[in-house]
Amino acid sequence: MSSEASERWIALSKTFPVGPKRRNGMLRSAQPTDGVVAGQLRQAYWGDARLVVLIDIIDDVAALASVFPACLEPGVENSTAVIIEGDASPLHGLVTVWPDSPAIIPFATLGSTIATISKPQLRAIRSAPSNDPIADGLRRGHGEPALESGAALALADLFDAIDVLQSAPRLQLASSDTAAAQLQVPLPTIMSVLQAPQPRAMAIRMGKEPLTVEEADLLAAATEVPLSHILGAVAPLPLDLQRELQEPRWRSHIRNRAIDGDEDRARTRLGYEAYQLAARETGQGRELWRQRLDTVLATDNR
Amino acid sequence: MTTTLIRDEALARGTLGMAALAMMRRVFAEQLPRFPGLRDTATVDDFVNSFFEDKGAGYSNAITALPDDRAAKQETRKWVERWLVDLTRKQPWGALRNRLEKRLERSTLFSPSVAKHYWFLTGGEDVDRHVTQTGLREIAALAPVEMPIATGNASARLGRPGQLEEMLRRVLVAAGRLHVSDLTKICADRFPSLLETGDVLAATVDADWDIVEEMTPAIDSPAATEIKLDDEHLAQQLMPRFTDTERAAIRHGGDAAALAKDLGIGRTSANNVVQKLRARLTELAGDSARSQGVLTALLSLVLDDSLGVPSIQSEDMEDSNVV
Repeated sequence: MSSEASERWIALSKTFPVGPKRRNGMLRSAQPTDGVVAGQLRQAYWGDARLVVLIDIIDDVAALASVFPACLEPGVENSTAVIIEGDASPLHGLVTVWPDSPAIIPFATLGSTIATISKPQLRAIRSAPSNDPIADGLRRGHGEPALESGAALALADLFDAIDVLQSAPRLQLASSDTAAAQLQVPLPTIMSVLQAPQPRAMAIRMGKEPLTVEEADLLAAATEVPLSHILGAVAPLPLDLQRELQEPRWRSHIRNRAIDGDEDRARTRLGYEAYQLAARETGQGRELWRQRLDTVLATDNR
Repeated sequence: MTTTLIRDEALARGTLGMAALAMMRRVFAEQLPRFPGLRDTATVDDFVNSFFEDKGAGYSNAITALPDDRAAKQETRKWVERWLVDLTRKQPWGALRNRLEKRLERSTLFSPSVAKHYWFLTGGEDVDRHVTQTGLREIAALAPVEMPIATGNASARLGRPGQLEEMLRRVLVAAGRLHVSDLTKICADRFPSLLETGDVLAATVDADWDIVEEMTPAIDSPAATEIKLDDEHLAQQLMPRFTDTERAAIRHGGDAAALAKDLGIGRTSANNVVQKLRARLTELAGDSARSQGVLTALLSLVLDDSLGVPSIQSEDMEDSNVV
């Protein structure tokens, strides 16, 4: 790039600060949470679908969030959009939200937090579809974009992405009954993949013989049965560990460990490694699983 | 192997840095060739900076929020493509707006509002009326405006004399008054071909309009009649112009969900394809009522096309009615 053009770019870049505005006089908790909280503006993504979302309501048990689609690109709006701009925006730039199109997506699709909307503002956004006039600091979108315009393309992308996110895999709170479910893999396959003699293979198939994570992984790779099903047949993970693994805080590590982008498999593997660590320890609870997951990840080669 | 250079740099500096710039340049170098009309008008560097100036505030945060450099590049491709699409539309959009304004100024049916750039019906009230955009689109679609099928003739007409004015009149009856930009949008959606190639509009000569405007609006005038092609003939004429995507949309009879499945695209994108097809057909057929008949005729042509492909193993070649 010519140095003049580069200088221009750098000058422009300085006018677009990244991250939430520093707000003076706002009460904040000592440490920002990395958990999922209503009012957060978060990046969500699954496969090739990417979407910014505003978290509205949490279902903590099922690790599901009811969210409003959002967009940071200026000029992408229609008549049902609500725009937060200028001083009212938590970012140096506007935020557009669609409170008339809530969708339920799993925690597992969430990524980093971009900014946080205050409770009063979230309430104002929520009630915008039924309230006329709209609250201070917000405005409604101007009409429908012209067919084939950039904004129309962006809107299509946005609403198609929410479809993908809604159908992403959700937390399956497997009950203890599934431990009795037989492993749906033919005996000869188990024998050949694991080099196991018939008696052991039979025992594995009936869920009576433990499998190491490596062995389960080999079977999963060979048979296309998801790793979580194989391990679930042998020994399902404790519910609170399964739940903890849905938290966005583990996602980047899960993605780093994923083979061919299979997050589900990488998540299960990580879970079982932490589980095996706990084999000799006592105690349950999410906090304990958090520590064990950290321990497992600390030994990963970077 | 995924890297997070763009995000790491942005979080450390508080603004996008060199890694982002390098990526933006690569994306523009890759995307510009797809827009032949723009390619030679400025350097890649200029385009990068213009884009950044327009979209930077949102773009900087959007890119930093993504999990890795690969996602950042993919997202940039989308933003850049959309921005380039809008850029390509600017010139014909502006030309259409100018053309509209001239028609509004010259016609006694319309008067400028006290609100700048707004127009209302002469003798009517200079007020807004509550009406939906969809409602206005439908009103515009029902008003007949015959566009001659482009025969390479550079001076494309926007309907027979008076037809465009009648369409605008009906729209303003419903809306009360409208900003010229809203009228432009209604026309852009109603006549998609006008935004497709700037060449058609660029070649339109002003002198043409003087001749057209001298004639009195002749909606029902016998002089305006011509032998109208029936739906089947019109459909046959139009068939070669449709893209594969449009043919798929025709084949599914406007069912967006089925089209989405067939093409492997999202529902909303499929819906947009259907809307665009409907607008194109309305433009080509003259109005939305007629476009239905043409669509039906097209459907049978498309189905014939997909069935009539001769197979290599066809046994009774001598029986086939090969045209």
